[in-house]
Amino acid sequence: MSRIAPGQSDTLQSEIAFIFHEIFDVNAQQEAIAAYSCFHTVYGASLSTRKGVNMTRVLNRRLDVEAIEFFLRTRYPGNLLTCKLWACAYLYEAQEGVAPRGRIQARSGRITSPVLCLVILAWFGFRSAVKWLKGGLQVYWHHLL
Amino acid sequence: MTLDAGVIIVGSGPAGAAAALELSKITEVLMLDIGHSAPEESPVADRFVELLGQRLEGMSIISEPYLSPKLRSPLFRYVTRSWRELSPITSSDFKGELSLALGGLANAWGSGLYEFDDTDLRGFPISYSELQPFYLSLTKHIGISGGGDEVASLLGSRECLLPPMPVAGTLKALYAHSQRPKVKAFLLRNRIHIGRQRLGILTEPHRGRPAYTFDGKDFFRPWKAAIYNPAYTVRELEALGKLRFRRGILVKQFEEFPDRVRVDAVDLSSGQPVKFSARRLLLGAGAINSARIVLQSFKDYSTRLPMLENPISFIPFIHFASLGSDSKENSFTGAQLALIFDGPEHRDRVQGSFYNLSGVLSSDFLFDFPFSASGNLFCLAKILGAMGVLQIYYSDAPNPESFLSLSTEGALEVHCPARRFGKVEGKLINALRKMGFWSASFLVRYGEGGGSFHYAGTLPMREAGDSIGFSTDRFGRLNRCNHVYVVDASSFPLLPAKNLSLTIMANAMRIASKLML
Repeated sequence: MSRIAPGQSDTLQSEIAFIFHEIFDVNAQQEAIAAYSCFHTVYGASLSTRKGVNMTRVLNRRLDVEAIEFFLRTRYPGNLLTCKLWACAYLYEAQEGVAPRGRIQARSGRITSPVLCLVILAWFGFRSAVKWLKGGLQVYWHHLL
Repeated sequence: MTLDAGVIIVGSGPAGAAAALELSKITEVLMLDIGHSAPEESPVADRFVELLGQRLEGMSIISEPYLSPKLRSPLFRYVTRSWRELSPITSSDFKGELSLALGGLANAWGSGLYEFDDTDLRGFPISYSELQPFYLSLTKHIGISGGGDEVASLLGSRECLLPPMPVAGTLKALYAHSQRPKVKAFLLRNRIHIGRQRLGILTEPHRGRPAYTFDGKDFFRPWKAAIYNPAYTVRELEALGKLRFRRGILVKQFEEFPDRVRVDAVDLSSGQPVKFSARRLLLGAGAINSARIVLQSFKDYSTRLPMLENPISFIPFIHFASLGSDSKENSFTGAQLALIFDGPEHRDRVQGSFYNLSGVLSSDFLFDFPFSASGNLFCLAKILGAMGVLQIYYSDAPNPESFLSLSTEGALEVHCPARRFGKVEGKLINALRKMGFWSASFLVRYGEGGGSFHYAGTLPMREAGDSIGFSTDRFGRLNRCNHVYVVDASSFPLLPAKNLSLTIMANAMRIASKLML
């Protein structure tokens, strides 16, 4: 996989490390970090046309990346942060298991009851609403756009 | 003039392979195609490369137009490689794909192999009885699995079928529900038939190929010999010395002489023009590229050829009782169940295929759920396994909005607008609910123009005496020509909803069997 300039690579390394920790609760391995850089090289032209977000500020202030992404997704579909998070999801899936859905499946493996799943979905609905509000506030307070 | 072969076949997809299978019994056959092949089989140590690709091709939907999961998969990229450069199309509404691979688009098909019956063949100058011997011959050659319920008879003869593939996950529950007497009566009242698939996937070892094994990697491994691909037939004939296959040849046009036909092509390895001669030429390059070769041969920049394509839609559904279940057991990526709808809501039969959502990378669906990232990840883990998709195919007939023509620059101008129906989807959603599966109209997605990859009708076959423009007679002979035949779906005057691959092959064999050399 190709690499990009060292300076930019450091920023990207911080990004993926932060997103992996915040969203997936694991550390990004070297292959995932290299692939994340490669992603920005290969798809850079397209990404540069997306609605941007000040990632440096998100990282430095350790803002709630999940909340910000969810708010931006509803306002600016296909924005840069959503693309980055989506890329991280693919890399997480590749990092954590060869078989598709391996680790993502295992993450909540003990929950097999349909009723419990529905209860958890309801909880995620409420949680997402709170995240949306939080994300909106952080975007405007911290001037992320 | 020395001939290179008795017959030249252009194209190595279903049509070319089947015509070669028949013709190689009686004459020397030369097949010409670009013929991209799958990468050599070797263990891929790096799972990032295996799942996502050297250039992260598997993640392309993040920032590029949608491409189906199999065509996006890194090791399947050869299927659609270089067609945009070598077979250019200019279009504002064609969102499909072509293939220059050995085996054609069948390298990435859903494996459904159905027979057209006389209802499907309405408007064709041929009948089921003319295709039947070739359907049977192909069933034995390919090894088609299926049968086991009454839907099998709507999809074709049950003769010589291998046992059907097992149904897995959510679709196992759907099949069980559909067979309950009350539900079955409801479905029949609504002219809906749900049953086991007819697939080119081996459930038993067959002619040297192994039975299918479940490993959940169909989308990432192009070497599964149990899943039929016309390339196997080409390679088999080549190994037996019954066929010469010239790879890397881009056919541009042909010219007829009283006793032969000459093919003008480019050898892509050298970039040099090359010529081949034979007594007969069979065009099997697919409906779009065969039309291109014909128009280029006649230097015709004004004729608009009709183009047919199956409009498609997708109905996602969920089985709440299966929430939290693991659907990976025995799941495979081919179509698992078949559906035929012949109610009054649409003028022709509608065909559907049920798929589960296993096998692909679950991240493909990350933003198809309405929650923040953590909620969506939970959905990927616990909801996706309870979901399925019903893919619906509609029939097509010539219409003034869908056509192609050749530009003076050499590109094909294709007009193929997307079409949306909706009444049938509503009916099917009701049926799904009756079986305990939930869906809703707002979830239905409609395919874009060209999105079905089922193209046909550019050089339609007509009854004798009815030949006009660029059409063929019932034996595939191209109007205005004596030595040129069309064996692919170009010659279909109408396009039924049923998957066309097996009929392309049977018709190619029928034409080949009648060829006067």
